[in-house]
Amino acid sequence: MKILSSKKPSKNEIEDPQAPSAVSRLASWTSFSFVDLAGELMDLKSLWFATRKWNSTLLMLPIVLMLLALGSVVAVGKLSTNRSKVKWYVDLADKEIKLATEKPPNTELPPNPKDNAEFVDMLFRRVLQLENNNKRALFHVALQMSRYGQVSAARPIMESLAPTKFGGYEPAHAWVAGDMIQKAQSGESINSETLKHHLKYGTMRTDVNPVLLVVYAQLLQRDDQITEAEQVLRKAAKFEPRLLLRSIATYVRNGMVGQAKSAADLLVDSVKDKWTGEKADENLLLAAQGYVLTDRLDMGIELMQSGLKLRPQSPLLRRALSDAMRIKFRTTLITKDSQVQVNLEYINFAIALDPTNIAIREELEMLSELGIGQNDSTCEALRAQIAVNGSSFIARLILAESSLRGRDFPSAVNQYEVLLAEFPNMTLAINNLAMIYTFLDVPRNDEALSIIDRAIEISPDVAEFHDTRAEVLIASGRKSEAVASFEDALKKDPERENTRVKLIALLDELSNLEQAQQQRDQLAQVRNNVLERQEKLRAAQLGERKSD
Amino acid sequence: MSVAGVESREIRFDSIMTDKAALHVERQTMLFFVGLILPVIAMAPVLFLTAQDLWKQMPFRFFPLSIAVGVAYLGFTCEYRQASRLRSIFSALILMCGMAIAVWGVYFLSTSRVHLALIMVVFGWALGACGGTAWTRVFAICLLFAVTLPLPRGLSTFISHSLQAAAAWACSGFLEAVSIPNVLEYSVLRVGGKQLLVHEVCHDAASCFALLAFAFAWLTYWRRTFLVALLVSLSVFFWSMLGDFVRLLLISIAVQSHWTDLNFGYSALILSCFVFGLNVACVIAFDFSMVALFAPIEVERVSSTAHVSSTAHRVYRRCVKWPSSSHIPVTVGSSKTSNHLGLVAVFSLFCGAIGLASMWVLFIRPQPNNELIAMSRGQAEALVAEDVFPEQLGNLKRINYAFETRPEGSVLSQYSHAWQFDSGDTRVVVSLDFPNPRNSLLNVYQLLGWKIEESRDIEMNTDVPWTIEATRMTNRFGVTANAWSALFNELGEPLAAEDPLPRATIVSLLRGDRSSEIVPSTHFQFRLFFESGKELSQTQFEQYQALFVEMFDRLRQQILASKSILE
Repeated sequence: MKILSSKKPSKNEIEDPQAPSAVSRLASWTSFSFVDLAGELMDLKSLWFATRKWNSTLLMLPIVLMLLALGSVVAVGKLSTNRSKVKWYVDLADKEIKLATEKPPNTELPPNPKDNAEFVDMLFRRVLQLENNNKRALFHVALQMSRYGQVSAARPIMESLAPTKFGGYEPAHAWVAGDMIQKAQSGESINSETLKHHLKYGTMRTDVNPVLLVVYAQLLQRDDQITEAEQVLRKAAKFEPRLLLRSIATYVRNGMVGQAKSAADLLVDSVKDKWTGEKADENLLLAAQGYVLTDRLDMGIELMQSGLKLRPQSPLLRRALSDAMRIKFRTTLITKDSQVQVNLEYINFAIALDPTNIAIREELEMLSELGIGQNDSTCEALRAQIAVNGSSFIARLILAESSLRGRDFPSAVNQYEVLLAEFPNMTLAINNLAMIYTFLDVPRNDEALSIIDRAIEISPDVAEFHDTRAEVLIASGRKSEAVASFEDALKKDPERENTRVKLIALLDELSNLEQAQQQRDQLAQVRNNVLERQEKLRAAQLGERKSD
Repeated sequence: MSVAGVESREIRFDSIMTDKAALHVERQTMLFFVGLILPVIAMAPVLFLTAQDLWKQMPFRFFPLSIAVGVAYLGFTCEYRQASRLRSIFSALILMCGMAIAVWGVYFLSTSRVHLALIMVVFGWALGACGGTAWTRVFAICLLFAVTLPLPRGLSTFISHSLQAAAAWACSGFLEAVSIPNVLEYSVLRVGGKQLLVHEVCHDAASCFALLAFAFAWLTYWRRTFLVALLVSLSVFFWSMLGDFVRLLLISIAVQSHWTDLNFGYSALILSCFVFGLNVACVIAFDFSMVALFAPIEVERVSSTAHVSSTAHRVYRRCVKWPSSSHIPVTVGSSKTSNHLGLVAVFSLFCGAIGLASMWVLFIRPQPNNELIAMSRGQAEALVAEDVFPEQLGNLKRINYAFETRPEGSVLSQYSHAWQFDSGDTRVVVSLDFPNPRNSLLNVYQLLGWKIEESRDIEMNTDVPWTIEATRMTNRFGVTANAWSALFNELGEPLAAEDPLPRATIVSLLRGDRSSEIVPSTHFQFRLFFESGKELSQTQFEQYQALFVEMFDRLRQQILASKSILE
């Protein structure tokens, strides 16, 4: 057997017939020096360079250039200092936060708050990566979580930023305080000292929520830190003067007259530059309310009258002044030796200022309880007053009610019609007149319906008028429509038991038993709610008396 | 010597040669059928399942091309001659190892082991059959088959994810350098108001393994030396990372500039092709450069030959030329024809047994419902209605609903119905993921940056033994979150998480041991996720458990009622 071998010598290889044997090669290794090796390597290197086909490597050139370009940009991005990156991201976030509160130019659309908030969240998350102890970033990330509904997730982060033993990041303290207040409002018990601690630091910033300031002031007041409380209230007044009313009411309730007056003066000072222009009426009324709460009714009335001179048609001012007159009227009430002395002029003013003020009914009821208009002598006195001073509106009202009680419907109609001739929008008169029209021997139901609809148009939120309309419809035989009116009345005032009882009776009559049962259930619930509230009030009053 | 004597010697020589050639053909044919075809046929049923499993894995969808190229190389570029004795012995050993692994794979119903067995069988056969081709070349060709085999213990995924993570890191730096704000949190890159899940964005057929297969094909075609081949193969991972970087960068810039979404639809396809083309160009260019840099030193270009025979040069030459392209000696077998029919018969019977077992595996292994997995978007959307949960559920108020579609093979599954509820204090996210959520819940949340603190199974108090996988996690802000999930199939039956295949064997199935039965691919995953801030109290835990059971039941009932969509 012959083995065919076709081993071709490779190109450019040198055949060396005198190549050293393996043994001699091995021997040469043992005597090989590093100097020789270095020399050989240098020779190899120069040979290598001399024999390369560098043209073939040009294919890599664009790729190498691309890698260099990309790599250098990446290096710039990675090697820049954390501080500069943090600054950049924080500046971007500040711009976005500012943009979120401003309307962008040349567009009718407001910025999308959700996108904006998510972008800011992304920026602050990056800041946290670069600087994991950046409190502002951590706060914003937690804030975004809470805005997203993940309050329980945000809470531990905020609590870490707002320690309970010392001051931390102020906005976090404010957030934790707000969270505690919400918990308290939903019935959970909270530690008031902890709340006070958080409020102390949370209210140090200038952009704090004014509600927190008010709560803090109340806590300070509770702890007899009156001076500090006043300072806090002053700060709150700069943001939202209305909040001072709560404090004034609290002071008055606790007999702290001086503090109440100071707060009221502070309130007036904070709004006195805003009695013209936008929200002028609201601001003026705030100041007037401050005076009224602190027993300076005349000053309040004077203020409102001055406002009314500038804006005579302002419904807000008219109603407020009318109510003030009612209060003034009550202050003139003197009871001496079982005799009652009262100045009815103020109530006349109240009616004249705002004929649509349904609350005047309360004064009428009070006068009726005092016996005015209950007997002939007082009625005669009232008629005499009308004869002398023709425009005694309250006298006519009392007489009309007296006629109504005595079932002298024509006289009552006469009185109300005279009043309506003077004040066509006097809703109290309209309401009563509509009822009386249905009681007449020849009922004027259509007229009654027409005028009560007018009353509802003037004051759509008064439940009484809807109730009256239902009664008029029942009198007109339109009982099914009356159900809707009763329901409207209950929507405005769900706690009108009388209306609900009438509705139940009507539903029974119309054989609508299911709805009647539903109303019965709701009536029971309303009564329970009222009882509960009364119990709570009694308990609160008892608690206050014990603390006193 | 007489002329007649010379003539008779020539005739004898010719007849010897003809006999030898015939024997060679006979041996090659026997080797082809017994050493390759029979084992392949025996394993074919399981290989069918292997192909199905591989096709589901997006990074390995290149496998048909790779196998085709490998077969072409074996068929058209190899020299079929009898191998040397030593090589034949190795060939036989590798064949036997391959078949042993095949038995192991079929016994444990493991498609990956059978896949490995196939590769070894092909290599063993080629080593013996292609005696005229260097073993290194045969090995290189078989690498084209080997690259289609996913590495064990999730190593393939680990490699892919590591490259993608590096690419995302570089991309984040680049974006910052060009003043595009972004944040890279674990595997999520947030830029321009959008969140890009890096592993999902870079998860497509143009994977680093596809590029590696191309590299192997290229290097084998050009018969590169070992050094060049090694360098080019290793560089594949760098180019793949570069491709991921370019992909992420382009998508991020498109998002920032409010261009088209390059992560979805035809745009994604074009981007994928572009990136792969770039990768291929880089591989080719690198290959040519390496060939140029590591070519032997040509004597003609050297002025003096004095240093050419130095030790350093010899070492260099050996390194850059191996394996050399020298011819392999021709081995001519003896005139005696060996009778291996006995061995062949035994081997054939052995292959037959494996084949029967494989057939049985094909028919008894539960198949996923292909129609379900191929559910269309319309079907998926109609499967469950938004109002399956009422507006108010206990103290939870439903505030949002979304139906999401993702690329097939996404780690978060292809379709998801998701509802958001608000309890005033926290947001609760409820979702139904289907048709085949490939990753467990834990993996998904870990990718999103959550650290798993505790994971346990809770038994639901229902008539059917349902189990909730309850996981408690924390993030880098110290916030605690809870993720609960339960799995079920289209019949509303509970499923455990997909068991690793080795637990089930043919023997256990023959015995009827259902506890180790292979479970089908998971169909539906019901998931409840909420951030509780702190660890749940016992009362809260029970409340959420009751909520989970109620919601789970509602959803399951509606899916069962939507059977017409499933059928």
